[in-house]
Amino acid sequence: MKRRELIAVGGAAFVSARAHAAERTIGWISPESREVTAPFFAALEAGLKANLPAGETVRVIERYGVSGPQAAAQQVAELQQQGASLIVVQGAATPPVVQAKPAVPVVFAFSGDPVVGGIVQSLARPGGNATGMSFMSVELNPKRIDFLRTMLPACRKIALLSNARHFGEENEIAACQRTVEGAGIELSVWRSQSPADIQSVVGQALDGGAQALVVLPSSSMVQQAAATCAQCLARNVPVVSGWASVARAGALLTYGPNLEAAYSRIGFYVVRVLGGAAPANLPIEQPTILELVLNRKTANALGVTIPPTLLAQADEVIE
Amino acid sequence: MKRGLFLKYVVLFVGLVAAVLVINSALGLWFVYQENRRASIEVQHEKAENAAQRIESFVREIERQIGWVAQAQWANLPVEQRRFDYVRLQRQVPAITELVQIDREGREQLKVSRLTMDMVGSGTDLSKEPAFVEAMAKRTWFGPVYFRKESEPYMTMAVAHGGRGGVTVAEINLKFIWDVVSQIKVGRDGYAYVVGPQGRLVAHPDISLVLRGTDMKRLPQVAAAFASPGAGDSEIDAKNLAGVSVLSAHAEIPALKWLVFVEVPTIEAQQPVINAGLRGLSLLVLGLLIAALAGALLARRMVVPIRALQAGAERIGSGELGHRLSIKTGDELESLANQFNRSAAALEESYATLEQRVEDRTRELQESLEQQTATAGILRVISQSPTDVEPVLQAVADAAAGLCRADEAAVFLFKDGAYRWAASAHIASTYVDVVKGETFTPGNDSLVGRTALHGTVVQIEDAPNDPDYGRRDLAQLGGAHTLIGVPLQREGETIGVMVLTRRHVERFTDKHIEILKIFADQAVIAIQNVRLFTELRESLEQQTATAEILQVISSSPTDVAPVMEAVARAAVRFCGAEDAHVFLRDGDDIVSSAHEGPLSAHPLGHRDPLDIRLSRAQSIVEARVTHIVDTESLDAQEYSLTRTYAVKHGFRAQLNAPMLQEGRAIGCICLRRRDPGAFTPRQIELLETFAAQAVIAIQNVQLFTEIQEKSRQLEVASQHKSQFLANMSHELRTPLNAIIGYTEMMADGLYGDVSEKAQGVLERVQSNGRHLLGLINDVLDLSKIEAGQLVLAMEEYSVTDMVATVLSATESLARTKGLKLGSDVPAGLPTGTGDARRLTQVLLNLVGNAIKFTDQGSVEVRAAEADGRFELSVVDTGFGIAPEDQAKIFEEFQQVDNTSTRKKGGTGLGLSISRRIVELHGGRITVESEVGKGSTFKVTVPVNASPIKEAAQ
Repeated sequence: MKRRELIAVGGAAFVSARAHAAERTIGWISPESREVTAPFFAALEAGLKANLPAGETVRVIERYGVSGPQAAAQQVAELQQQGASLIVVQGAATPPVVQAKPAVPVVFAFSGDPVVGGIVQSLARPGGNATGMSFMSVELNPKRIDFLRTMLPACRKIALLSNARHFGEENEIAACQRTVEGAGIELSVWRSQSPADIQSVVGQALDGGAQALVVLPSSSMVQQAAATCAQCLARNVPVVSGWASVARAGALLTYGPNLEAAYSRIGFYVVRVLGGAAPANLPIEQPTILELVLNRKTANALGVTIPPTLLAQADEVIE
Repeated sequence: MKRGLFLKYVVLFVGLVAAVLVINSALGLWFVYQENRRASIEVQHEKAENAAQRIESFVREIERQIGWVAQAQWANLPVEQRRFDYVRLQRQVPAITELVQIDREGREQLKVSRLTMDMVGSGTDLSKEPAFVEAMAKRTWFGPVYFRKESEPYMTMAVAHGGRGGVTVAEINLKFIWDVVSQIKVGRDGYAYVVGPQGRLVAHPDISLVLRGTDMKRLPQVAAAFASPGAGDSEIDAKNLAGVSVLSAHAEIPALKWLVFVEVPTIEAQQPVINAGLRGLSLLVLGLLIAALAGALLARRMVVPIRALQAGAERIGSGELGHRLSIKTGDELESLANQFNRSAAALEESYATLEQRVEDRTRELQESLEQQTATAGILRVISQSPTDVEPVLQAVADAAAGLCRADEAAVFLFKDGAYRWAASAHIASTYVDVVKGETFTPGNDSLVGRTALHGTVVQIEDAPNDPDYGRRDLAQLGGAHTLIGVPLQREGETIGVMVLTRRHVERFTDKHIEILKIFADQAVIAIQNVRLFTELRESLEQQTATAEILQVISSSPTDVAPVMEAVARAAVRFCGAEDAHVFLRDGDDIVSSAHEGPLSAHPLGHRDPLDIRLSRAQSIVEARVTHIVDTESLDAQEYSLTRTYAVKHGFRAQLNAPMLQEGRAIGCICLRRRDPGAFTPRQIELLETFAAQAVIAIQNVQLFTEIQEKSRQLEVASQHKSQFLANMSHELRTPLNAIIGYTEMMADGLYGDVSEKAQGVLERVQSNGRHLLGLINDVLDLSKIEAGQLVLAMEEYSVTDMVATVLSATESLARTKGLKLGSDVPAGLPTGTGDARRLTQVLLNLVGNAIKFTDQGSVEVRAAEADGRFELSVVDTGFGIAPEDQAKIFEEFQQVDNTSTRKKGGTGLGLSISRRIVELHGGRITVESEVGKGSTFKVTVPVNASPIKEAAQ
């Protein structure tokens, strides 16, 4: 009799453990709005679905518009209270969330360099409680300028639009400045303090005589991409940025990682860490696939001929 | 049997099958394991080769793609064309991150990169770069694997353009090998990975491991592969990074110096073996089940008939002898069952007769037991009744009647010339009274008579109707029909008859007769016992009495009265008299000397004249026993005095035994009884013995008195002699001294010249006179000692001085004979107490003797003290004394009688006197000697002697 009870109890424990494993809760912290990050979030969910073992699901508690250490710490605490066993953090929210030292592991999708940002010890061995993907923004910005110059060899005045709230953008700005050094190009930097002031900042840059606008990629910029591109096109100024969606919104060209693929890969990380892997030993990946997207429509509107070298490299040409 | 046999069969069968199956399975499994392992490793290796090929072809494909561009003439194309070609190449090969064209001088002409800005004609000097140098030399060069930002694996590949066209250097992102590696499927859970020359992971399905820069050399299989490159796959116990045991194989890509490993978890690789094992196990279980079933069936076939046998045997065993077993197995079991049946039949048959036999035997045993009980009872009665025969006879009669189913039994014993009733059982007392009055003599008349006459068992079947039977009257009186008489015989003589009667006619069986004979024998034994016991007792009593009297005699050597009293007491006790009186003859009177008993008697010392009218006087005068059975029947004239005393003292019977000494009576013992009656011959004999003892006692007293008187006279005479000798010696000495003195004076010429002849005579007179004087002195000493007149003058003395004195006195004598005279006296001897002069005399005597009887050698005096006694020894080397003479020499006037001693002269009194003196001191003198070797005389005296009084007595 007792043995049967024991088996029953053990069975119940097993079942509950399975049930627990089947439904896990994680948190999603984004510094942006739900709308802006919707494609990434969808890509994450797809990545989770693709990597989760059959029959298991993950519930995601979403938090948006989290900026600043205080808000980050508060959200981290709340998510943990609500049973989140892992936190996925995106973009600029990454450093404050990691610095809040949550008890649960953190998986980030960070466009900057996490080593430079002090989030991890090294790409190969993060060492802390956080791991994730780096989108190589710092490295790719010069290449975008390179592409821009290939497209518009006569361009001499480039305006750099930066999101002041976006962590690590000063590094990117510095890298860009190093790129154009000695190339006879004048680089002006325009910092937006909030989404609301983008239009006026862009206006100022255009008024400053910029022949091209390089937008440092960040989610909030993406949100305003269409307006910015339209604003620039109106002044016959091409926009260059990092993410394909910006090109679709009207930018002349974008070059950068495929973010959907990257967020899908974040799903792989989440599943891996939930499965017990220590973030400290899980190397930070960089995107291997970089997409060059050209907008022939914009090019035509600007009266620019796309050279064959770029066409040969382009992954997508928006007609 | 029970379950045991069944189980044993089953277990044995199953055990055998199981053993075979287990061995078979184990061997099979072992071979499968070996083969599988070998096969697995081979397959693995093939897969490793295959994987290596695929990875190499991946790299070679890149090389080939670059090769399309790297044509000899390509370098001469316009830069835009070359750039376009490079871009196109990058499009085609995503792994190429950067392409650099170097001209034949080693200068960078063009750089196209996915990450950095393209460069045209930078002219950077790369001529020393290995990529350029090696590619120019070998056309294609693969650089080492390196890691960007210490994480992402990259490799430089350089391909020389044909002719003098320079080199295209490509940076290859090796992460793209992941696509190849992750597609290599090895079994279910197997995988492949690539390790660079330094052991660092280049490609792995888990890209994280690559990015982390995992050092694979910590895995044993990787380490082994690096340790011995080119060798085959070692059979070491491989483990993957998770510590899971794996089956590992590797192949090399020689161009790249990469190792491609293919690994499958051992458990998966061994799956066929496990499956084979499981198959074997299930076969084993199945085999066991079948074996168990078969065993059970077989055992059942074997056990069922055995159980039937057991059950049948149990039924037969429990007494169901009619039961028969029915087993039709047609084998040994059936024959066993038949055997059981035959045994049961035989048993049944013998059982029937057995019961009757047992019954008979039981009855016999019962009878035998009764008989033995009866016999034992009789024996018990015999042992309990050693002095009385009647209870035994009673028991015998009782038992005989009971055991032989007789109605009455009686025992008759021969006494006073006829057989008389002695005991009976079951006979009416009135009839017993009749029988008691009867006496039977041997003859055919009565049954007792017939039995006694023939000395055998006599049976009369029907006494009242037997015409030959003379005492039909008795039979009719007792209502007896069948009679049997059994003789009680001792040494062939019939001392009694046992008679049994039945009130109906039924002969006694032989068995009864046997029993009766035994009883008869027992009765005889009992009678014998009683007789022997009585005789023994009487004999013992007499001996006791005699011994008592002898004791009195010995304890009273001078007085006859206690003996007489003892004799009187014994006579009363043992001779069946009430009263005993001892008389002694004194001249013509007889004197009352002792009396014992209640009757009145003359007081002790009463005198009667020796008058033969008195029976005791007659006994003394005629020196014979007189026996009066009844005083009343005596002749009144002849025995008037006896009769008078009989009336006066109140007795009727009398027995007088004379005390005879050399045929003459010196007294008599007189026994008296109040009632008339004869004394038995034994009593008379005993009284005579007592009388003889009384005589001995009287004689003893007489002899003792005589001896006492004689010894007293002797003593007086001896004293007289000693006194005489002492006086005599004194009287002799005085004139002898005068003779010697005057002779001396004459020899000295005081009375004028003496002729030479006369001188010689005088000297002889003188010499003989001195000898005589010595003799007289000795005799005087001896007589003094014997007369008890020698009194020791006790004083303190020194043994050392004493020895010195003796030695100085004898020194000249020894010197004359040429003997060595010495002494051995230790210092520190205590001072002694004794008669120093006499002890010196003793020592002087011994030393003198020693010198006298030693012709050559030495004489030595030794002294010692031990246990409060001095021990003085005189040791010589003289003739010695024969053992038979050694005791005699200390007696008076004894000298060892041989020519040599006689030559030496002497009185023969010296040693005797010495002995006496030493003894007076409480010491001893002894001699040890061997003829021809010398003698040792040893004197032992107490250091502190006290004189022994009256030593002479």
